[in-house]
Parts: sequence; C-alpha cells; structure tokens
Amino acid sequence: MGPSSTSEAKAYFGRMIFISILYTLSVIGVNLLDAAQDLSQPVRIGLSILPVIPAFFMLLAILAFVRSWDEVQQRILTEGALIGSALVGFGTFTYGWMQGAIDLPPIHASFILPMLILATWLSSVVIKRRYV
Amino acid sequence: MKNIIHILRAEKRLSQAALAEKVGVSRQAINAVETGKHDPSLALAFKIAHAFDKTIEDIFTMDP
Repeated sequence: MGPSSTSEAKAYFGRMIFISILYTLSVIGVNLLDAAQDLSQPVRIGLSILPVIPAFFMLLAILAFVRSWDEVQQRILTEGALIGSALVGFGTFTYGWMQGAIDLPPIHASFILPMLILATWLSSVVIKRRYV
Repeated sequence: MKNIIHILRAEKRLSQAALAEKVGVSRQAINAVETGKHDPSLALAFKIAHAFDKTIEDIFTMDP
C-alpha cells in the first residue's frame, strides 16, 4: 500500500463492516422466512440467492481496495489468488473423485467461496515472504 | 535486472520508507525492487529515476 492507502484502508473497512452486516441480516432473514412461511418455489429460489448480493458487493469492495495497492502488493495477491484457486480447485476435484471410491460426506457448494478466500489469503502470506 | 538504488539512497541519506513515500508505493515495494526480487513497471522506474534526478538507464541495467 502506498502513502495514500490509509484513507483507502479506512474506506475499505467501513464498506466491509456495512456489507458484512447486510450479509448477516440477509442470511438470518432468509432462514427465518424460509422456516416460518410456506413459500412457493420461485420465492424460495429468490430468497435463497439473496445473500449472494452482499457477497457480490464485498467482491467489488475488495477489488476497489486492491486497485489502491502498489504493483508489488498486487503481484503478491495475484500469485496468491492463482495458487489458492489451484489448491481449492484440485482439492475439490480430488475429493469428488474420492467420493466415487469411498464413502465421504458431501461438501456444500456454499463452502467453495470461503475456501477460495482462505486459500488465497494463506498463499499470499507465504508468497509475501519471497518479496519482502 | 540490476539497479543501484541502495547506492543512490545512501548518497542522499534516504531510507527505503522515505523513498517509498516520495514515489507513492510501500516500503516493501522499494525493498523488492532494490533487492531485484521485482522488476518495476515503466511508471515506477520513471518515478524512482525522477526521485534521484537520474534517467532510468542510470539506475537500472539488464543482467547479462
């Protein structure tokens, strides 16, 4: 991050807190509505994808923050994202094949995005050691 | 790519952090460029050269 990054970081954390609150409310609201009401199939589909909207805005906030970084920091994250995606991709791919051979519990698809974020972060931490 | 940033910094008694602030990047970025771990973009190379009143060729040379 450059010298102007402090204000960018503050704006980023502000946005993320706001979006996280919206995300939490949407998840709680969707579960409460789904459990309490006898809803039609189209409404249930619409409600089920409601948490995706704040998650999408989270991605936009992350993108805006990353664009305020300098080229070395962007390079670290790019390599981290590449390795993180490869780890999650090959991991789930391997798990899928193993499920055909042995009795393994299914992975919920909604865990893929958090796994990608975690793997990208962990990879970036390791890659950062090469550059700084 | 080789560079003489550490020599120029020493001449001007400039820390990595001070140079970073001058060119608008992080101290880690200056360290990565200085140690040859990262080849800077043309824009960053120009900014670093400008900070020392030098040309890019004065500071950066290609490894044989």
